[in-house]
Amino acid sequence: MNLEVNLGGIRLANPVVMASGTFGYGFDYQGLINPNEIGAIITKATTLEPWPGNPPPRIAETPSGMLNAIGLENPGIEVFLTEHLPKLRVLGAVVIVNIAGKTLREYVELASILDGTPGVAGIEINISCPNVEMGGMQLGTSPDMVSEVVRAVKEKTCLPVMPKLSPNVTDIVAIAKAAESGGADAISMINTLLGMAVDIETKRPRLRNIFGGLSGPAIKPIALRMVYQVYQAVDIPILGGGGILSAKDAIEFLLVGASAVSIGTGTFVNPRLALDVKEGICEYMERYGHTSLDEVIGAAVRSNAKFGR
Amino acid sequence: MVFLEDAEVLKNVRVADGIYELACRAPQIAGEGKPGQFVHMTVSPHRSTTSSPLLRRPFSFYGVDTEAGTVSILYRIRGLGTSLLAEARPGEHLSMLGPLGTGFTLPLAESPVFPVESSVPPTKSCASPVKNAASPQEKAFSKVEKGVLPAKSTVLLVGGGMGIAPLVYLADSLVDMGCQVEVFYGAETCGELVALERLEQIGANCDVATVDGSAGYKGPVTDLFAFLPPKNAPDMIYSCGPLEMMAHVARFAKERGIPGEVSLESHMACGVGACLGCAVRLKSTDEGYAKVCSDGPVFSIDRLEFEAGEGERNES
Repeated sequence: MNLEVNLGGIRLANPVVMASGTFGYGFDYQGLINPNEIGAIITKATTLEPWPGNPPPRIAETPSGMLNAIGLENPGIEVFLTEHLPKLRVLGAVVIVNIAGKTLREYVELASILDGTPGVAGIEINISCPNVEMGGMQLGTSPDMVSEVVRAVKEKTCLPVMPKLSPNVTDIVAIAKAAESGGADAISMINTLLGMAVDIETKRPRLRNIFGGLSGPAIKPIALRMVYQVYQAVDIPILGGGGILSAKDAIEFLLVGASAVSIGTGTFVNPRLALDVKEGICEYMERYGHTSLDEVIGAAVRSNAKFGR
Repeated sequence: MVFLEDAEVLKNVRVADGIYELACRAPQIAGEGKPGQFVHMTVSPHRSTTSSPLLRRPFSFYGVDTEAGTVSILYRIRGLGTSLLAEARPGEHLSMLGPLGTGFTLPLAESPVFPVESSVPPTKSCASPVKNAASPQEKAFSKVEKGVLPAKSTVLLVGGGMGIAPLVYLADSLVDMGCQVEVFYGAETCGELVALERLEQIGANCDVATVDGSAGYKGPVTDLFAFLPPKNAPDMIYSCGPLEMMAHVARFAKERGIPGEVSLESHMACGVGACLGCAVRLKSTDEGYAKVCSDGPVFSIDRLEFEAGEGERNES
């Protein structure tokens, strides 16, 4: 079965992608899931300098989901390039680097460093992390800023660029269009939804950061709705995800217009989920006699148009 | 190597009020699980149809039988996850990921060990079971250089409540290696000393403390240090239990110059070091955080500073 897909210039052998922050740099699940079996790995967000991250507690489980406020802990771009990337290349992974910064200048600098770096297939711009004070989500909630950051990054690199959109906005379509006009090659969506949880015994928020990003099956209906809307509004491919826990969930994302799917929190639940999803997509295509993913991608949007609903 | 196994529940029995012991068949995990390591497991056999609770739960090995291919854990019902786990019946399957984490430092397996049945005298490089004349401090540091603990060491295990679980498997392994194992075992009340019988069967020498005085010494288990003769200092101290207790253990060990290790607890999402959710600041002067799941859960007391970071860790 041919599962190849082109994600804005990033060629994927299959449409299953590991979401940033849930797969580290690809080594933690070694033996359970091999990076060369999946479409691509999006690395943990990388910043110019090392970031220590937020004080604990950083996670809290919620109904059908979890909150996290990791705070983009990472060792910085230098360590990534010298220690992690070479190992990932040996493993044969398609590597998309997620970049984050406190200022526009930092994003631009990261893009110039990554431009032309062997072993990097693309850049995911993190403009949607809800857990850092500067940059992150602030950049991703205004269409003008999104357009500006994408344009600035594109100027410094020939690599495919894909902003990861925040769902914490009133009009996701306006943000997606702004990303496209800024020159984005693809759109990654969705990041986590801002939320909180309270411990009634200690009478305190359960996260030290108070607020955290909600992920897991709880957010899937919202993610699906947003992909559906954005698919109709832009001409660039979408990497869709949010709460995928099975092949069925992933197929729903393809049907509403995602060209590829991102597996995140689901890996914590089932460490082999990405492989199960890949297999499940194959079975689904065989069952319906599809020979190309193009027949599946956006089919639920097209059928609605056809029936005028 | 980490394995993902559909582990068949063999038994899941209540051993005290709200405390359960679960045994599962998981031959790959049992083949490699070391003391202090843990499994990250689903709490419900119906994992494909339910997403609440979503995450796996980490449990340290309470027992591992490599030959039988079984592992056991000890847990107290504390929330939704452990309540559901208590409902698992023999014959049902739970998904187990493991063995995970960094466990306790064990005596060097390749250290010369006395042939038990022969009368050959120990060679010079062997650790003598006879107490030598060196001060406890000198003795400890010469013996446990570079984190290496010789075979036939004298070790002290200090466990409180459910914290006894990893120490039972540790005691089992240490006795097998020829160590002399002393256990200070504390609990709220005598009914919660659920591992006492097993520890005695293993061949560990147990001293007990209970908060209500219903068994052994009445008071905190760390009070038992007062009864430890200064000349009889152990070569190594291992501990797991409430933070306050482990802080006391660490203080005692540092004062006496004895190396020690403690096992920390944390909520976890991935359990393998990928998500950075179980971060812990080991020392207030540290810039970054350690991961309880992969850097730990066992840490040397040298890396930890309980006093300053305690409040922060207590929150989880």
